[in-house]
Amino acid sequence: MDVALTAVLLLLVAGWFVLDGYGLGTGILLHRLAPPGWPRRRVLTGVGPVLLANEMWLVAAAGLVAGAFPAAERVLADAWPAVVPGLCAWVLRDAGLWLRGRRDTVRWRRWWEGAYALGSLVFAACWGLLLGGLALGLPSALGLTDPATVWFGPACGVAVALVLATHGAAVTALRVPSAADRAVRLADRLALPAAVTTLLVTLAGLTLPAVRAQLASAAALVLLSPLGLLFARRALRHQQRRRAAAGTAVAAAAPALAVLGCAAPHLVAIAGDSRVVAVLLLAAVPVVLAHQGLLWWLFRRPVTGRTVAFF
Amino acid sequence: MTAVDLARVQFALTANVHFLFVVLTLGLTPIIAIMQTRYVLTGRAVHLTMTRYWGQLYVVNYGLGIVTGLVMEFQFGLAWTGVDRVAGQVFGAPLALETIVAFFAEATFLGIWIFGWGTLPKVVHLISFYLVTITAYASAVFVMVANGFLQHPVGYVLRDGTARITDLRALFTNPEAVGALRHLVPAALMLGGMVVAGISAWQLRRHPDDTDVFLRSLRMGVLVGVAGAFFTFAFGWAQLDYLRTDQPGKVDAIMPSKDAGPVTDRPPGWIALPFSIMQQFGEYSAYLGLFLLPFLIRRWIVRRRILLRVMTWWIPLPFVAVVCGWLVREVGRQPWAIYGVLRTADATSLSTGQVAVSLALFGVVVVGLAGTNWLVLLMLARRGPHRLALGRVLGDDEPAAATEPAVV
Ligand code: HDD
Ligand code: HEM
Ligand code: HEM
Repeated sequence: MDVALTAVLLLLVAGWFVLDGYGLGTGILLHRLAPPGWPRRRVLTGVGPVLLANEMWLVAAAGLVAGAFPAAERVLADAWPAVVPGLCAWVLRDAGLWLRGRRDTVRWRRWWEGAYALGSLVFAACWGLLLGGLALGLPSALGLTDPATVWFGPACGVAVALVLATHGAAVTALRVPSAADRAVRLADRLALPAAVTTLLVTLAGLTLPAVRAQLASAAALVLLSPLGLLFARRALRHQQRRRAAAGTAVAAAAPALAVLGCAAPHLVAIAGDSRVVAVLLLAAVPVVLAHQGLLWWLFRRPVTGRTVAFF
Repeated sequence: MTAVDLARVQFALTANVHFLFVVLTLGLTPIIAIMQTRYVLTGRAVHLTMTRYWGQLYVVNYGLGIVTGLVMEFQFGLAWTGVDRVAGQVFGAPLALETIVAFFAEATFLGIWIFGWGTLPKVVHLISFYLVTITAYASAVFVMVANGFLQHPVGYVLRDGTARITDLRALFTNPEAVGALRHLVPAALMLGGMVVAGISAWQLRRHPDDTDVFLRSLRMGVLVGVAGAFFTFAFGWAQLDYLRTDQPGKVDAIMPSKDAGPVTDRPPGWIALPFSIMQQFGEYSAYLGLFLLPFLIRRWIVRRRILLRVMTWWIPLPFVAVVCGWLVREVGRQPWAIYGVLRTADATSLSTGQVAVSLALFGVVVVGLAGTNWLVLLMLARRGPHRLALGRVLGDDEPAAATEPAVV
């Protein structure tokens, strides 16, 4: 049972990186994906219908931690330097998307588009910082106060932001035909630097004893990230956009899976002992997957002039 | 101020702002569900306009309510590790069920509702809104069960300093949860009804000849508001019955009586003020509602400009009452974080500096969002039922030249 709950937690986080990573990526690249006005609105309409449902994967992960692994919630307090700014950025991103279309003035839209972009960037970077801190074994202040490790968290932040940006461009290429050309070009241009950065950060990280102790067994899994990106780049050059998005999806999920996967044995050990709650939570999983599937199926069509918009 | 004090201020501020969003959501959803049902049954355009007009106010408020909820969700692990350590398993259970069962469904079906206009069959589209409504109320149940546990812990045993659930049913039938819900649900409906009535009154004052949408909305708002006020009132007094035994200190603070013996653990006496504001507001609202009822006949209300004006100015009051209610409930629980189990002073973990920074950040963010929310709602409400944002397709607002690219 505890193993199953841990697996669900990993699934939720990985799912969040793949699905909401798309939203974050489009946010990071928003100003380059489309010029202001209706073209940019189309890019945002690609994200619109799925935004809330996507971010629920992370909300649900937090709920699961609270309900099934209460002892692990202290991670939030220990990871304070990543969690507090990350949360503020998350709020800013959502508010940006939600409010952007509410007034018809250029300034209003520019301001909230900026909030959406900045929030996405900071949120992605904070996740990198958090993953870096977990890979270090969660030292105080995420290792930011120790000169030997201070660079690692921010470097992971840069890597995660690059990977998610590539992923966002690759998925936008599928969902928003009017922005597809630019999206393909951006994804193509970003894939290699993102792959090199993740590779270098992983290798450099493995020189730190703390990371080696924590991550050695799973380092290979992190490497799926650069591989996925290179695969995506190749696919884009062969006009295979679906495959490219699959590649960036693997790249988006791999680092989190590797880091949390290493923590999984600890998680299993500290799982709470309420059977009833565990059974209820596990029973909810197929239902959740079913209506998420329904949502994506309903909004699978690319964005056109007949697509309903709200943002 | 100590870290605990700051963390309490932070929690009180963010929770109250979150609740100001939530309570409007809870109040509006059933009203909109009725409007859309009437549209699906009759197919008349006026019901569609009403659904879209109130629906867009609801959606804006909902989205910003969600983001303040995110702050709440993570705040427990962040600042109240003491609560988590002692009661994480009990208290986390309803919150976990809420996020996985209710939020997921709510967010999914709301996405379907907002972006499914005109593309989904009408009945399916309506069902998605029913599901949104049901899950919003399910969230309220789960949250109040969690909060009820803090007020009056039941259904658990304490082993090695950690509470474990022994009786899930006791947790969900906790009188402190059920009793509060019975009060809170009608309070939310009352508030939703008053907001609908107040905005409609404003529109009627500006356009007395254009009554189709807003006279109907006003009638619905007043009826829901009066019914809500009545039940809020009744169940509010009912709460005092069990509070007398469960939390004598709280009752003593809000209604000091001379013949009571000495009471230990008495919360600050100032909560008597928010209590009396809430209670008096409830009474006056019920009177106002009853007084308005006869004017709903025919078009009598339309030319009663003073009444319309009063209804508009009444809008902020239920929000004030709601904040007062929470102050009574949460401050009245002091000095306990979990009543009789964990003292508030022992419940936080962060340092003063850390809490001060997060208080400043979260405070600015949530207050800024609340302000923006009210401004945008005001603007959308004033714009009236023209150029509705909900249910528009991209092509409506794009230049004709924006044709589809040839290759997809
Ligand atoms: C429109 C809002 C509204 C109105 C008119 C009232 N209330 Fe209320 N009250 C709330 C909105 C509210 C609330 C915000 O929804 C609370 C906070 C927590 C809760 O469950 O409901 C609450 C809490 C609350 C509590 C604290 C319960 C506890 O600590 O466990 C009491 C004793 C009352 N109410 C009593 C009353 C009485 C006697 C009213 C007389 C008419 C009244 N309320 C009107
Ligand atoms: C699940 C629901 C809720 C839980 C579990 C909860 C829990 C808490 C906790 C842990 C604290 C800090 C400790 C303390 O001061 O006792 C607190 C304080 C507070 N909460 Fe809640 N709360 C909930 C809902 C709300 C809501 C919705 C509101 C208001 C809208 C609210 C208003 C307050 C206030 C005003 C305080 C400050 C109390 C003080 O200063 O002493 N709470 N609550
Ligand atoms: C104090 C603890 C609370 C926590 C941790 C919390 C957490 C959250 C979170 C994470 C969301 C966003 C989820 C989504 O996207 O749907 C949310 C929204 C919501 N919450 Fe809370 N919340 C708290 C208090 C309350 C209270 C007291 C109520 C009602 C009684 C409530 C009812 C709702 C509802 C109905 C929503 C849907 C969004 C909205 O209505 O604006 N919450 N909450």
